[in-house]
Amino acid sequence: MGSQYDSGEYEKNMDRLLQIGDFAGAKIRQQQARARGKLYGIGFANYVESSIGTPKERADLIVRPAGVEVVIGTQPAGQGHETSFAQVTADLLGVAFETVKITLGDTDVVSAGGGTHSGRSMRHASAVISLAVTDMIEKGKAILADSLGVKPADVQFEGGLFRSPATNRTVDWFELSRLAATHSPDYADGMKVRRDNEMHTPVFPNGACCCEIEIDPETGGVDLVRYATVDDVGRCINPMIVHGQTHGGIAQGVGQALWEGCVIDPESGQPLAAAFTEYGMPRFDNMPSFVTEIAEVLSPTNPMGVKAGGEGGTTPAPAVIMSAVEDALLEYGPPVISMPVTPLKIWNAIHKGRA
Amino acid sequence: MSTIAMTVNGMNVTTDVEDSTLLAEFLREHLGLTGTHVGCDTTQCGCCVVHLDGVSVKSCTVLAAQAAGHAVTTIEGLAKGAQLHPVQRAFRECHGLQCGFCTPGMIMAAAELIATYPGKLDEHVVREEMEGNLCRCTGYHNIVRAILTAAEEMLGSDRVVRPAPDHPPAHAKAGG
Repeated sequence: MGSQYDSGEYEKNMDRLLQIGDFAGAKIRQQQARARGKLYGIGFANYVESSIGTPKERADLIVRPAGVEVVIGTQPAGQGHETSFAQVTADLLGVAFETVKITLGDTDVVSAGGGTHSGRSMRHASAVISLAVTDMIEKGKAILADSLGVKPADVQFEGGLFRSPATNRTVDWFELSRLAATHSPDYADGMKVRRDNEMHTPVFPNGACCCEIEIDPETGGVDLVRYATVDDVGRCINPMIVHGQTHGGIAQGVGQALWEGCVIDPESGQPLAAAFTEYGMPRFDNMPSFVTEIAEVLSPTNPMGVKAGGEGGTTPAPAVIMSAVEDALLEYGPPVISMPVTPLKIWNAIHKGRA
Repeated sequence: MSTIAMTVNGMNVTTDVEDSTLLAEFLREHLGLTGTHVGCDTTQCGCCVVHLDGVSVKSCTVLAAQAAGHAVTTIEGLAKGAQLHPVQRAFRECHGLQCGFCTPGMIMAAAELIATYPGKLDEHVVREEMEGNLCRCTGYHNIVRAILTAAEEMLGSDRVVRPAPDHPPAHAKAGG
């Protein structure tokens, strides 16, 4: 019956948002905006979203003397999987980040995978990579034990090094890979592990978001002047990438609320907003700088505690913009406006209210 | 068909082109310089910005023949060998790109803005001046930071007003 929220600290997100969004200063900014002849609105929205995606992912982990390769079936379009997955792999193996290469998107090489959608990539990748690394460590112990004539249990692994106290030998991954290749032709092209993983439990990224807008009552034009958000993404592997995802997501959601409409002429079926000349895109000069903060409440559903960072920026954005517009237009009666809330709709709402 | 001559990234180029050939098409199809991207083909998105005698132009609405006798610089010609241009470096350091499609045009437009803007560069100026370049991934946030970072390197800190630091101090992490 229903889904269980995996984890979250919702009230703490809201408290933190009030600080980073400077809620305490909002009253003064409202007075200043009104003194300049603007209608001022503040919006606040909380969100919880479900992230799941296809349940299966595969990783091929290969350690060669020249470096580590991970072949995986997600498909980035600028989300930086090559970077964040290499961070995870390097950290778990105990090797330098620069030695790890992530291979994606080539069906000659990638045999299976679940793709990229529904905030699944970091979660699935970190889970399947950590399982593959565990298998690889066992494999490494067995290979070293075999070549030294000791039991696998007598080989220890820590911090990227295999140690055999009985023989006083210590090797790193790359030496071990060389050793393995001389030991058996099976390892001529590196030590390989193929790991499949399935996860069927959704995670629930969540957060709190606020924005402030100013409306020019003469034109109905909206200026988005402040925007702040706190997003619980679970474990954050690469904050720079996650903040970048949030920024882009905000612009997607704000665009939907304010400008982006797929208008079709009802008579002819002709799309009327088929090019950038007619379609309202977020632009440099109608976006503010954002204040974004990541809250890391680890998810108990997967080894790294990852939730998702891809959709959090977008999810509350239409709600927070529309609630700010509603706030700004309160004196003109109940809101009767729909997305995208264009200057014409706002101007009409103002004039209907005045009539 | 006309014979045209120009310099592209410092190299002399002389070739026959159809009169209707656009500069973007000439650079990409004739010279193989595919760093210049064509996003909208209607001068809206800015992905195709190159420099014509040091001035930013949207090369999807310039005829190749109009560039005859002039110097064209594309994204491929911005770095000095292995040394990236400060704007290229700043885009990398500030995470000013995600999918990368708009990036060549962003960098070319920003490089010209920094090189030619007479006054102080701040966030407001950058946002107004760069309005003709569209990005669907970044929300522009990190691109603005990249441009101001490069501007400070190229012009000095007295010509640039940097925005406030990005992230307020983190609160106590969950569970600890």
